[in-house]
Amino acid sequence: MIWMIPALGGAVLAQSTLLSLWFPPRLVPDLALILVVLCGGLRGWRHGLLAGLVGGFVLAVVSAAPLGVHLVRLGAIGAGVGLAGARFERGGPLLPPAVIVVATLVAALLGVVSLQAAGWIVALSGPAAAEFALQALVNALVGLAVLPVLRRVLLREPTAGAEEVPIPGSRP
Amino acid sequence: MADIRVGRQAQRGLPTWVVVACVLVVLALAALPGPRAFSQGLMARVATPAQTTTLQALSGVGQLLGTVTQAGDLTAQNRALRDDVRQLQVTLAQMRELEAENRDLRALLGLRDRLPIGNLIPAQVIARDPLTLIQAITIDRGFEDGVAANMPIVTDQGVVGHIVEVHATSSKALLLTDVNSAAAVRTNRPDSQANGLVRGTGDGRLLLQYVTQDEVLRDGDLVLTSGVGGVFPPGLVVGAIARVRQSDVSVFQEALVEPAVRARSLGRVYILGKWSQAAP
Repeated sequence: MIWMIPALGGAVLAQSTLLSLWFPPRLVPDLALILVVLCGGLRGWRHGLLAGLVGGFVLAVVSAAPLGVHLVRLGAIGAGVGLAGARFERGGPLLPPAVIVVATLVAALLGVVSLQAAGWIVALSGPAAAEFALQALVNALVGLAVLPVLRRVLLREPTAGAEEVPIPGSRP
Repeated sequence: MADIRVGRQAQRGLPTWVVVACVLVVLALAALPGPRAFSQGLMARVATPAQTTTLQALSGVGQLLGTVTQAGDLTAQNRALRDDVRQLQVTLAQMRELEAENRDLRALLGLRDRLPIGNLIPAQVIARDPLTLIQAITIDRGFEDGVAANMPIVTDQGVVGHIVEVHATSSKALLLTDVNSAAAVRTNRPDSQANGLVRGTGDGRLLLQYVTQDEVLRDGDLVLTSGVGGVFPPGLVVGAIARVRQSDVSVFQEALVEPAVRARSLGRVYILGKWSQAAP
């Protein structure tokens, strides 16, 4: 789990420096959000919440928004996706990208609400909503590409106290 | 048991008290200004070199790719000259960079002659705000370089924004095009100078507001800072009027302003140090 910290750091670094130079702002994938969603979905709400809080802290380093905005946004998303994680692995192949799309839109909504709560003005118009939808699709595509790697890493990561549960039908 | 599944069950290895403790620590850091500033300052100090290095590496890779592409042809013609060409290419790129910086500085010197400007602190944009709701940048200069909150940021083309958060070696600046930014301005027509306020629209443009109906606004009029408010010195170029909106029932008229500085093309910027209207 500890490796999530440098992973989130690298993700934020990439999306705020390299990707923001190469792509239009709305097309830059939110790598930190994708990592938090996948972490929550694959490992449960506790890991999702912690990944979200770490991601929020890292994002605050390069963002002018108040720290609490990122903590609320990513923490809630990580925990929320984690609570629904029971269905993440059992669902079809379209479930993870669908979850990322929904999570991106919810994260945008949480961002708007928490920014307004912090006293910031937020311009939310029709085109802005469309751009969020576009970013959600970009996130879903990137998430699809990252998912096999994360699934391999996260589900094989040895965890102290983890219980071994046989897959129904498998033989001991 | 060869075939096991640890996915969902793995989270049981993370005790609830650890999660609760982490959440409490994070909440304490977020709620208390002192620890929050300390932790963010510490992280910014770590992140700034990483961001600068990343950008330098990107620039280096770009130069290297360009060089390699050209060197491929040269290799076919004369393998021995490849190293010399590569060296010359790097030197040329550096000279072009210096030439651009020199040009910017000359333009800013011209600006400095016209305006009551204090010292100029050159800075490089090292990151853009990852939250798409906010238009902000991170620059590689902090309070160790004399940067303070509310200092304006400019290029030779015009106003960029102002500093909102300062760390030791980096600062965050809110762009003028963000909806939370505003600046007192005036138009630059020979026959009239209409005063108003520009505010970011969030989509990369500006909205000129609070201009009384008796003032004359025309498409293409230059919009300059008026100096009212004390953040931006008077006479800095903000942009040009793109479309005037007039209404018979409104007290004020509005205009969309195309900013002079494109946020996406920002690289090298200058922070305006202490300035005063009384200065020559």
